[in-house]
Amino acid sequence: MLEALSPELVQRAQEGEPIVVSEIYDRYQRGIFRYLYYRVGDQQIAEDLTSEVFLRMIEKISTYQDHRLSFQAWLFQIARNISIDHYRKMNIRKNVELEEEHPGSGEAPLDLVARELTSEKLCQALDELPDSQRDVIIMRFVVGMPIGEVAETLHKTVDSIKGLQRRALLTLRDILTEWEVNYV
Amino acid sequence: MYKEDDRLEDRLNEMEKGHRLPDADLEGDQESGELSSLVYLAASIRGLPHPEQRAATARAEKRQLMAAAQDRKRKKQRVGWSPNGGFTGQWMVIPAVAGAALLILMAFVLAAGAGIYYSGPIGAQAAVLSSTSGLVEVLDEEGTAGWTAISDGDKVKSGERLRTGADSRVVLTFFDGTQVTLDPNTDLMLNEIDGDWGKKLRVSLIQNGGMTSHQVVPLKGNDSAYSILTPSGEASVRGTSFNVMVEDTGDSVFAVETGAVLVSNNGDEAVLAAGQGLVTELGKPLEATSFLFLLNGELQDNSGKTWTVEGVSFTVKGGTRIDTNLEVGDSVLVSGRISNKNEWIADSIVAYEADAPGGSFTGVVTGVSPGQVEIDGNLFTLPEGQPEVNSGDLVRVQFTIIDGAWVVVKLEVLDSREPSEPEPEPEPEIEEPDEPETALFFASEEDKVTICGQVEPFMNTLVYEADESAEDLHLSLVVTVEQGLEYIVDPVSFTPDTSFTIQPGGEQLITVDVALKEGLDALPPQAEVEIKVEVKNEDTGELTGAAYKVKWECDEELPEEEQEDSDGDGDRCTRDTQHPHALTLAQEYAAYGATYDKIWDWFCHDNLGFGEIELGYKLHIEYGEALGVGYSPDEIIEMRLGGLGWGQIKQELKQAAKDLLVGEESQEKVPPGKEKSEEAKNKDKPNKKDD
Repeated sequence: MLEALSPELVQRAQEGEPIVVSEIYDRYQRGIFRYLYYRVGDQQIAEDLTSEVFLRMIEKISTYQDHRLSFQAWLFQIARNISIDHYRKMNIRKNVELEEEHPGSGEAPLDLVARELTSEKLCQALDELPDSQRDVIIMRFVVGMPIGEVAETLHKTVDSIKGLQRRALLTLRDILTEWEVNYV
Repeated sequence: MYKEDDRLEDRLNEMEKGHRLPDADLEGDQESGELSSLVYLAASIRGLPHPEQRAATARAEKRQLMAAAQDRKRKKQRVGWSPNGGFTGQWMVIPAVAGAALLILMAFVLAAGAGIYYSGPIGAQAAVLSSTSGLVEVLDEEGTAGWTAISDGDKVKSGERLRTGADSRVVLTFFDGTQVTLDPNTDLMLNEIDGDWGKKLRVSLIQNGGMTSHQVVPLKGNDSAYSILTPSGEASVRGTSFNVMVEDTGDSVFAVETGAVLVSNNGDEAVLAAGQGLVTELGKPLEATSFLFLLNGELQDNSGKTWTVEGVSFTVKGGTRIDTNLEVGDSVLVSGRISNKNEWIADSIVAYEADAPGGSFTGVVTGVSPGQVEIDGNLFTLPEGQPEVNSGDLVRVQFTIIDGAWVVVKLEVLDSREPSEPEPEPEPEIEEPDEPETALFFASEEDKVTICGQVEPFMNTLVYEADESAEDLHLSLVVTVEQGLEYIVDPVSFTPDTSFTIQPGGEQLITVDVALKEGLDALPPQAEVEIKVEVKNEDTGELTGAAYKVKWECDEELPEEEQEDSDGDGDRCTRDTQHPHALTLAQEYAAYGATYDKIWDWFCHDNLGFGEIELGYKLHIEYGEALGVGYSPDEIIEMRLGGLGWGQIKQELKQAAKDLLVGEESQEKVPPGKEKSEEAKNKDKPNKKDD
């Protein structure tokens, strides 16, 4: 779990200190990139969107107020919005919440030779989940966010995130079982 | 349901804290078993090797971000006239007692018609371009107009960004005469250009890449400043000449010619004196300073990491900037640093024609005798008229090389440093951290595969043995064909072929696969293919030292009629029937003048393999025919017979194609190596026919 950004660092970042901006980048770049990677499933696009997230951060940082939500949650809100914009532009997916549907309805991954869970298989399986469930899985178990920050980021209560988290894991488990992918 | 959600969260929190995962088999009821399976799944996701952003991309992105932040900061601090009516920025705090002065100032600003900024001397807020060559572009402050080409006489101002293309240069001159030269492929943001009466200059630059050379007129007054920020350090000067190079990794090289430069990075500071240089690396403390060298002359060896010019060997690192297409025999200029271990490390190597070979460097006099002086262990002939020096003096020497001997042209005693300072005693402590205690190695360092049929892929394992606290390594493979280019398709395929990350204690499977050239269905007898696999650290750009070679060879004896003609009496060429391979080639390349006799001649009298002969035709098709370069297959084969390697021939053809494209006047081509070919033929290939 990442240590929260101190108010002093936030203020210095708002003043545009390059060294602080550099520190923020070092701290959050990996998580933001991974979040976007599992959202879009493409290395190059995820890299481009990561860049966009941090540039937008510079642009909007003066509006950030630390008493309202954590910096990490704020940054992931930017990332989420950018990924939604991306889909909207690309018209790849629906940008609204998908109805929760029966798990495993999509096609199985092509490569079933190695039946161990890999990042590629996870990416394919996450693609079968509704957006909010997918966000919860990525933020909680890929990025390692505390449940409270996930709730802040997704504008939901902690209890609703707990519910989404359980349903997401159940769905994912069923998909992987159907694909005969071993995750234990 | 809510209870289940909470129970799951509790179990996940326990997992988070490192508690043992529940044993699914021991869970009593179905509900608990389900919970366990979800916790296991979460743990599995957590434990996966998740994708990483490519290191080079991340570095570039970070630089861009820092520049954007700096730009934003500068805009906030700028003294500006707000359209809402009033000054913004630091002038907001001007006390009321200064109201009258403010009114006068406002009147001045408005009267001057500037409308926006307070103005100092004319031209103080701009730099003028001169000596523009190639493509020089500017991006305006808002970036709305995009990159626009500019040239001599144009002005650039604060907030604008300049970049030079390949083979492009430009000189910027500030109002006090200070100049900065941008070398090719340089990206420089003009963060602040300002000045005041009394030749007070305030310049702040951000260099994102490339190389700049600065000639700073001694600054006047305490509020003058000249600084240049790079991704890994900042240089502040008061009046000096110095160079700054920013490598692709973001690491920077600061080199001082005259005066002194204060370099800072991560809170560390170092003062560089004339003749000294310093490398700053992202996120690392400052290194010890080192002395600089320049060397020009003939490139004698450019293989591996140690190159030689005029008998002087130096190290080439991943970040060294090297002109393309440099070959042995070219005249070059090398600039670099001399480490405390007396290792000469090149920072840049460029093509350069000089009247005579020579160079310059800064070092300590290690011995003096009549007519000779030894500097850092290098012996020089000391002509009369040079200043007297003593052992221990810190000197800068310019020298020329005559018949291999170094002769002093100019010797300058630098009195700004204590003579004993550069002594190498403390070097182990300073240099130790630089020695990578790499535990990165291949499970097998060299493997020989004897096979006379189809070549099979070869696998090896890269092992990273290190403590868990060690950092992950971001690596990529460098694969070089060292032998057998005539048999296999180049480039060879290998995996992983993109950068990859290896964690301490981890392993990475490496696969190298080669494909035989068209027309070859098996590795022929006596053929050898050797491939070297090296590992590059993506963060430093340097090779790690982990390497292995894989060699495929077929040790079967040649069929009797194809064996080497050991006594030179033509046994190799004795056949009752036509050789099928020669026949195939003759038919396949008949349109390009191939005949059975010609191919057979090359094969049996010039000892060329069929693969090589075919390569000659293919190169002709690729360059001669497609690009109209004009080298016939026969001329290409002549180059080969003249002793040129296939890589050199390819370079020659590429260059010829390039020359053709830029419209250079077509000249009578004499294939390189032809003279040598004639000589070689006269010596040991008496039967070569003229076609």
